[in-house]
Amino acid sequence: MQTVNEREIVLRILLDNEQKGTYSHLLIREALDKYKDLPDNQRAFMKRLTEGVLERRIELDTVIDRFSKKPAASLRPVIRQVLRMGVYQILYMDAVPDAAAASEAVRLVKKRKMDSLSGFVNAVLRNVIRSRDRGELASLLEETSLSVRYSMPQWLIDLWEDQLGKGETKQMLEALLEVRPVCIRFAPEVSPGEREDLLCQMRERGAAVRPAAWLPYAFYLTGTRDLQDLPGYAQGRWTIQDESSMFVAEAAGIRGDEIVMDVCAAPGGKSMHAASYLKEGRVLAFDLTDHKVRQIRRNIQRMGLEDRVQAQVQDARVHVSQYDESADILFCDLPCSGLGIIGRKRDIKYRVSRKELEDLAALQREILANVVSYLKPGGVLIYSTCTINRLENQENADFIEKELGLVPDSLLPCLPEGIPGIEGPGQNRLQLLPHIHGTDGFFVARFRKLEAFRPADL
Amino acid sequence: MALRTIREYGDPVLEKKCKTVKEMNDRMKTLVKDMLETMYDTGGVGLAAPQVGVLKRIVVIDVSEEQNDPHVLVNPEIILAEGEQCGMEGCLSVPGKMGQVTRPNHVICKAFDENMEPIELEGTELLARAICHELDHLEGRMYVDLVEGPLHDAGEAVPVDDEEILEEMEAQVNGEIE
Repeated sequence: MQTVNEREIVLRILLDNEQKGTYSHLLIREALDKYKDLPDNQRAFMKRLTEGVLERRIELDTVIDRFSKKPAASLRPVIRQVLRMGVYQILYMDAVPDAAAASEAVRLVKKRKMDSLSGFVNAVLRNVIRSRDRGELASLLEETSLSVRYSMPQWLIDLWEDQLGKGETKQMLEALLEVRPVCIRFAPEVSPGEREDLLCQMRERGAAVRPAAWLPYAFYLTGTRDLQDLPGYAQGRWTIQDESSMFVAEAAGIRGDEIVMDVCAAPGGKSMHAASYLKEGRVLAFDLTDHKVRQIRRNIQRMGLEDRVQAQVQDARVHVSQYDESADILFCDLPCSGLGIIGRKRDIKYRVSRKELEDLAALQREILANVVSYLKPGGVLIYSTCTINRLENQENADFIEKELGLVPDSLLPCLPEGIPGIEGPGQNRLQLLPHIHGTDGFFVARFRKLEAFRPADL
Repeated sequence: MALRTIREYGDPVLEKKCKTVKEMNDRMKTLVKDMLETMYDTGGVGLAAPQVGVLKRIVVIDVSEEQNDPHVLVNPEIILAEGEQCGMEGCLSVPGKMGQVTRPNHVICKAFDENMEPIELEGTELLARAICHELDHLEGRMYVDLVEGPLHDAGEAVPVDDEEILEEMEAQVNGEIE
């Protein structure tokens, strides 16, 4: 008989990620779904090992290169991934005995009928163990660049050092390697009593729950599997949303009777959050494809917000004049490079390019210029991204003010008191940073269209 | 000692009932050693003689993490099976596949060891599962006939529609997580 071999599954995921380019978080989710009946600790091992190998890739390859005559980059894919897995277990997984990390690696190689290479794999890993034990490895790694130590492509480090400064960048790199917990948002109608009750039931189911950094209705959940099965989820008492993205509806300062338009809404978190503050108004939630709109609708239904949110397919780059001057509040949470969520999607950092950052900033400006007319005079525009990049964030805020003619509107009355980092000419911009705010990296900015607004080209 | 070739699903030897071992001669002792070596080499937790082409009532099992707790069962017989467990199992004779099988959660089995001394082996969970799986082989039965639901490809990611992935990915990058 044979049992499920977690390392075999991890190797498969890593190879699919490398060869087919499928995003790792999707592969991990599929594998966890497929092996639902595996014990929690085995599933957690699979997830950590996969994510660990991805997030430390540059460092792991540097270690491999030190002990292999052939550099990691020119090894066969299977051997390269097996070695990365082995080195990660040796350096970062204390619960795995060194001998097991090495012998399991050898077994993976043998199973793929590459017996001739099993000796090589064994030798490299044994050398890593010996060198670690003698303290040589630590000094080797200390002498390497930030890029190796934090497994971050050099050009991104250069970009951030340029935009944020060296000290800030180093602290952020550290924070981006931390494991980010899942964050949940309780619906406003959930009373503090009911919330305590639900949190209690979650704890009974083995979840660890703690308050998030800023908002009283946001909590971090760890140690859980199958979030959807936890009490209150199916009933729409809470939903999954990072605290940073909750700042969007907060920044809007919703009174309760507005028309809110969310131009890139999937999967619907911000739209639902806004709708939960509405008594009379409603939310129009747009996105590009049927698939995304179905996803929004499923979420609306679960949260019981069908009467307040209307989801439909609408390309944010295409102008629809019937929407002109119809929104009191316009959410522009636009496609971005995602550098703020590297702690959740570990392969983003290896995939983006400088060219892509420029293309995305241009796409964001195209969308902003197209949808700004949907705003009523006196209305509020909230621009947001989940990235840390001036080109997409602060420079596009400048674009909204200088080119689109909106005025900065202060975030201070809307956001939690004492939150650091609010900047800009009208205190209207906030770059959330993981090492400062404890959230994902996220940018939010607030603007108002003047009552007497007349675009220059009309 | 030597590694033996594992017979794969479809080989008629796997469908036959095995014969009782009358005495533990040198040939049988070598077989037991080879079976253990083959099981460890392939990362299995159990192996039955018909899987290496020998129609004798012999199985070897080791479910320990360190792979240092071998059980050799000659002419085994289950004398108690109770409870229920449901989980994934695979078989060295059906490479690359896994499936969900319901098994008793507690079994006691009487048998002889490699010296033909009578022994009893009691197991729960994984050990109980392995005992049942291997003893089935001696009757010519395979786990694939007991699988509930699909027979999965072990370790292989489920293929997904590409566009779906792309959209899902964009939704994720743009918004909320998981």
